[in-house]
Amino acid sequence: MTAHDGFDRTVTAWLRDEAVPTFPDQLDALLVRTATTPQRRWWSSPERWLPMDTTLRPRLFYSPRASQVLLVAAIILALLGAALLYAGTHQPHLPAPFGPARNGLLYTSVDGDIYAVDPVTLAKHLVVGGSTFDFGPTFSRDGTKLSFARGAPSDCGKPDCGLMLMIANIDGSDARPITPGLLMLDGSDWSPDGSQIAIDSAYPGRSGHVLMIVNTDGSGMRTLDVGRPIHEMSWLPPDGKEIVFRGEQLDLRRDPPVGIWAINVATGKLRKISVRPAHSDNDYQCVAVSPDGTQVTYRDDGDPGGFQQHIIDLQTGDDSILPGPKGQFCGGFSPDGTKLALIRGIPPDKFQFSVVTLDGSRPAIGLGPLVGMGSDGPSMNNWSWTPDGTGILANYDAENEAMLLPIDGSPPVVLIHGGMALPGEQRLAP
Amino acid sequence: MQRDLVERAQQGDHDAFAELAGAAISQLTPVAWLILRDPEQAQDAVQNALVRVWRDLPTLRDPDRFDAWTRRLLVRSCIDEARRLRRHRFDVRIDAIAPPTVPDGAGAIVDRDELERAFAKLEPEARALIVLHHYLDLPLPDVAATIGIPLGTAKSRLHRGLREMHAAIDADARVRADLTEGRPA
Repeated sequence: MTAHDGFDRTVTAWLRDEAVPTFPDQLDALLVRTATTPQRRWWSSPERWLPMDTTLRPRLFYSPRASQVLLVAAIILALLGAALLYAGTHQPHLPAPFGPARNGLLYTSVDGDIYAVDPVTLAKHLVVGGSTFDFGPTFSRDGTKLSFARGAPSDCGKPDCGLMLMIANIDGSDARPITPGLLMLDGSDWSPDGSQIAIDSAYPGRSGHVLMIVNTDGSGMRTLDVGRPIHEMSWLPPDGKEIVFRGEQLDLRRDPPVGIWAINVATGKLRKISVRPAHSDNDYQCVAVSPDGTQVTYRDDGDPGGFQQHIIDLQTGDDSILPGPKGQFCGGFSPDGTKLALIRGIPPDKFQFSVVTLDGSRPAIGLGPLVGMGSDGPSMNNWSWTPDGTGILANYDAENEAMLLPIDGSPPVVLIHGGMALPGEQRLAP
Repeated sequence: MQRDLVERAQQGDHDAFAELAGAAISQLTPVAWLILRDPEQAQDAVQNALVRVWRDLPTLRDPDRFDAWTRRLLVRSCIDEARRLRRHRFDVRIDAIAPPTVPDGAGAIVDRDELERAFAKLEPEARALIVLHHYLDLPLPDVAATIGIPLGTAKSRLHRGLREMHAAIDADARVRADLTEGRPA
């Protein structure tokens, strides 16, 4: 026994003697307050902005007559021929699905509507409005389609009917749901060819999420069940045959240790990406892939002394630690793959964006305001690089703002102020 | 059972929340009291934390982590209360604490007032660490997750907090000894 053990026990005994039971009427007073306090919608935390469940979308069937089938087939063939002819002569120049692109339209949601915002004049115009609650605009990789989340109609007989994943034309027209109202959708990622969107949604009967694939033509969705909860998924460049994800360990008895995997979307075959054993169930977080698909970055569990950002080389399997001080985490590759944007902790309780060059050629630069905690973690979340890699678009949860942070040191631009201010920018061919 | 209550409360069932809150209050109140050492502040911290639990419960991703999440909101609420209190009080300069020079024996002889004074000198975050680990018996990984810091940081801050308490008690003892022997403190 050491002297320190003795003092530890003294402190423990003293604390137990000192602890008081509850104060009278404490519960009653609390319940009076909560009875008049509205609950937040589960999706109103930008940290988890797209929840839904795994119910497959019901398909409607009917039996058309043969003459109707022939007529419809003839019309489709005629339209197809016309479309091919048009496409042959008017092929639009679209950006490659990964890598640098030119900046296009800049949209941001705020208070349930979606606006186009001019980042210079800050002039804005409504893209998706009305009585529905819409947020999280995300452009397809070729910049020709828009997806976003919409609060489902409240006629499901429950207090919360969840969200629908919507798809629309770039100008917001022809908006239509491609999922039913679903609970627990925490994220989405467009496939390289724009025909599918990967989402993570509630694991049936369990904690956490499963990986789902939604067809953007509205023809249905399917689950890619890997037998454990997953999170933070993204299509792996360049071909998008695989989706990289974090395997979670939410049930210590059932789930294997956390790690990073890739799943082949066509075959369901799993491939392990992470190479070292997990230190804890907090390890291997903030998984992101490089634009050329050769690297995966993540943050570790922070022990000892603070989070560190790692980079796994998918060709060699090497897991290296990004040089620099501890306390940097949740990195995302720039479109050209030469830089990482990170969140850095500034003691005792502040956070700021930071951009570092992967080859260490330039010192790290801090970007944007120093902020505190949001609803569940650092205030800034749901952030992305602009398509041309000159800035960061970020939601600041606690400040209720969407901001553009130029990485050349220019002052940050507050794009919009309000709840669920989540920005997204269109990619155009360079 | 608790998972069912949490899921019902997430769907807006206030009765289910009342049941959860009733159980939570008895666990959270002593923690808040120990961290803040002020009954009114402790009540405010518990109530603010539980109002936030009710408000934000639908955003809780994993119902099985209700207890840990609630503790985390309470600790944050306590730290907010402590900082608010500090802003409304005169700052009292606390001199640097000398390292302990007296061999330990404190385990048996320190009295409650000494412990109280030493504990009160710690920052609220350090008090929270000590309470979570030494009163609630939470393993250090859970303490780290509750405070929102890496495990290694939690270990070092806990060690430092206890060392500072110990040093403050030793300093108190030296002052008392000097006074007893007639030397100026």
